[in-house]
Amino acid sequence: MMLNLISFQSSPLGALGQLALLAALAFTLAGTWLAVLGGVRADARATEAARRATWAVFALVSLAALVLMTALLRDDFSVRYVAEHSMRASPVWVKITSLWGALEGSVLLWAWLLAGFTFVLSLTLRRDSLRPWALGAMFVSLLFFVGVCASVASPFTPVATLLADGQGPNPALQNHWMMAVHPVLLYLGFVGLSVPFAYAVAALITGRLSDHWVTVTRRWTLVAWVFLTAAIVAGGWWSYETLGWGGYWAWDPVENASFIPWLLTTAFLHSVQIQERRGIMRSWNVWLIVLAYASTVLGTFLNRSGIVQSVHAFAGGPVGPVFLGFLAFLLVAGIGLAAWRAPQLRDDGDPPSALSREGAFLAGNWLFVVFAVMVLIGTLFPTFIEAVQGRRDASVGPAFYNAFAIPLGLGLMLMMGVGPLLPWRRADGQTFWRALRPLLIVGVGAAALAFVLGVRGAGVLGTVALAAYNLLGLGLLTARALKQRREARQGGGFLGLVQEQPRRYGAYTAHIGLVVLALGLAFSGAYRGDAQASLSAGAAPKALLHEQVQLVSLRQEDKPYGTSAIARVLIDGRPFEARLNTFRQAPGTLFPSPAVRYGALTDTYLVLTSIDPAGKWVSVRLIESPLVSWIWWGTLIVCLGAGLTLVSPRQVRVRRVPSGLASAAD
Amino acid sequence: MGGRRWDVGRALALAFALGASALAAAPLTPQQEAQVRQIAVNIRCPICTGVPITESTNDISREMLRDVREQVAAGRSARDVYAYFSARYGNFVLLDPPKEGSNLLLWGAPLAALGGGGAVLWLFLRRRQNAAAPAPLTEAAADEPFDPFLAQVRRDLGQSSTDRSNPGRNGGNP
Repeated sequence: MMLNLISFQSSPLGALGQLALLAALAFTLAGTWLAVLGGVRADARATEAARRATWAVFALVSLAALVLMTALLRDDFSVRYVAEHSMRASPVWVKITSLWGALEGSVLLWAWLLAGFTFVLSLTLRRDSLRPWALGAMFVSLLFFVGVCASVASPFTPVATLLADGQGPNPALQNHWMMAVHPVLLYLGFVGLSVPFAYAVAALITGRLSDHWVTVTRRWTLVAWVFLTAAIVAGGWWSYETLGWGGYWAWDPVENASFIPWLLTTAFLHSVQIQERRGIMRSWNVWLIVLAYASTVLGTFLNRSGIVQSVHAFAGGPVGPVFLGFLAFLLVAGIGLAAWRAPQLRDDGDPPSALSREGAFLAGNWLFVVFAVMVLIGTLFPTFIEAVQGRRDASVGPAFYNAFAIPLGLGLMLMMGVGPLLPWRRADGQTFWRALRPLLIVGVGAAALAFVLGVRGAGVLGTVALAAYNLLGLGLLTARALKQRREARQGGGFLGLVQEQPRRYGAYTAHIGLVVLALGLAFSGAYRGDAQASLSAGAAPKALLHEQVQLVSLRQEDKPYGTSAIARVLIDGRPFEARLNTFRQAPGTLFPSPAVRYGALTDTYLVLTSIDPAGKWVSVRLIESPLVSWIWWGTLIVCLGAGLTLVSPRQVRVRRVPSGLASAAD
Repeated sequence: MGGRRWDVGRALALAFALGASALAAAPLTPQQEAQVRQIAVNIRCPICTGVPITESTNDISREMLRDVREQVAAGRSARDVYAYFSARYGNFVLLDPPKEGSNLLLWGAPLAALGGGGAVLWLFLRRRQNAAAPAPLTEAAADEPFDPFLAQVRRDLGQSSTDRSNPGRNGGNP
């Protein structure tokens, strides 16, 4: 295989990229060895050398990524990846996104981000006993991704015969600019989880947690979580904008595979706070992180191996088994290590009581983990049946997932409202009940109001009730804090409150965002209008759903990379331009670009389903979904809130106290 | 380009015309239409990737949708329609797996996780009740801003089991 990897004559750029990857692999091997040496012998020099090796790896993988980007932009078809996944006629942004538009490039992007995260980690790691092992764990991940990239999935292997033009990118990925955003965000989320994973491995190997373990893992996980959240929703938006079915989530196996790490990470972000406050749940947290990271690799394996049927599945080639191997290694090594060593991570404090914030967080954890198990089983069940029966004889569709996801989601919303109300350690039952009662009353009232207004369906009513309950709870808590602040004569009002406690109000903000998102999911899922009609040019407007729809014109637009049929349609007098695109690489396949008018309350969504050869008529599908935009806006609020929790609190201004011994303003 | 300008459109228009004539075959009441939709979203297009027949425009999906309409028009229940399609195309086309046979594994597993997890959590939280319960905190104390380092110091002072071999956090980077 090595013989075939480099050929300067046929492709100078390819050879340069390949050499960079092989050199990066050499440094990764050396770094792994040095890190292990540094850990086993407590040799600070070896650890330092391993730390510096990450710089070389990052520089070399960056060079490889730069080379591939250059080859894409210069249409250098002597590089195999460019020949197979790019073409001259594509616009520049498509050439750039082609870097992650197919298997080899996306593994290279992964390796590059991983090297980048390792580099940042090498600058922020503290000198403690965890350091060599955290580096070592990063190196093991790097070893896999750089190794795959430099061998079985190298984008740089030379082509046998030089082509005049490439085969072009996957047209589905060329259809919308969101392809520039969603995959990168997702990889940032996935790769970001490798850092807390490395810390978890280090904690397991050394059997101890350094004093900043919680702070570091929480921050890194939070960053990864924000990317993951944004990526999942961006993927939903991409689906909404391009697939022409007016939906955003189909419980597709690969969507699920990105959702499982999200669920486990969200659980971790809550339970790690118990560890931070109380010094307990240590081994549980390590377990969560190990499983969350393993689930990102599972996701990539499902994505790349083709063992599940999915719109995301690429033709895998030899990479499927390699990823399966790494997944098996992670599961065996990670879970084995956790099972063997986690009991050594002893808790400092007593177990929590049920009626406390710890109790609420743990109940939330329970629901998150059950949610993850449910999604995992639904995703793998068809493959399992195929393995047992020898043929594909089972499908798991939205009906299964929704049957569990709706009650579990409502349960999580319930816990989301309870958590902030409860104090740490132990609550007084009566005080808690007094705090909870108004929320329950308002929740039931909101659901009753919604019922009177015509809302039916237990899921939607439950969401309305829990939305009101959550918002009132957060509002009351904030109002009380403001009142206390006024009484204590601390200035600054609400802004001052947020500046002093960014974590608390960041979490509140994220919760408000989730409430907005949940309302969007509930209403757009339950109350969707969907109608089809064919429209003739010049005919009178046709009544469709609640609108008058009229075809104005139909024209065609030719671009070097493809053709679009563009229908101009008036919906209640407002112009919509919906497109049907075909791309040069796949002349027989139609890719719709729906025309969407986003509204605060309802989106109007128009898709062309077919066009008349003579240009006389089109058939369209009109979809009206309420509150879809709330999903996008809610996610933005969630991400802003999560970002706010990362801000350092402003030092509390100490007021003059006669004795001069002012305690910190708590 | 001009010659095959609307080729794709022509092919699709034909498919659509076939579909439309099929749809026009049996007029249904609005309730029946709703029932057709409810059933059809759970039947998978056999040749697509994970798409129900309501979302697919190919011939076989149109055909299957027409089948669903005919059967609903004939007054057959959802269960009968699913059984009919399962017999013809295999369980593969059922997106809502019936709760029987090996599918019980699928439907039961999340319930088992819920029950098992709940039991573990309950036992874990109950351990506390055997230990001495501290007095509930007053609300004011519970609301105090959190300082993780202060919490660490408090723990370190209270317990001796924390990490002693840690060289400390003043090392930083060289």
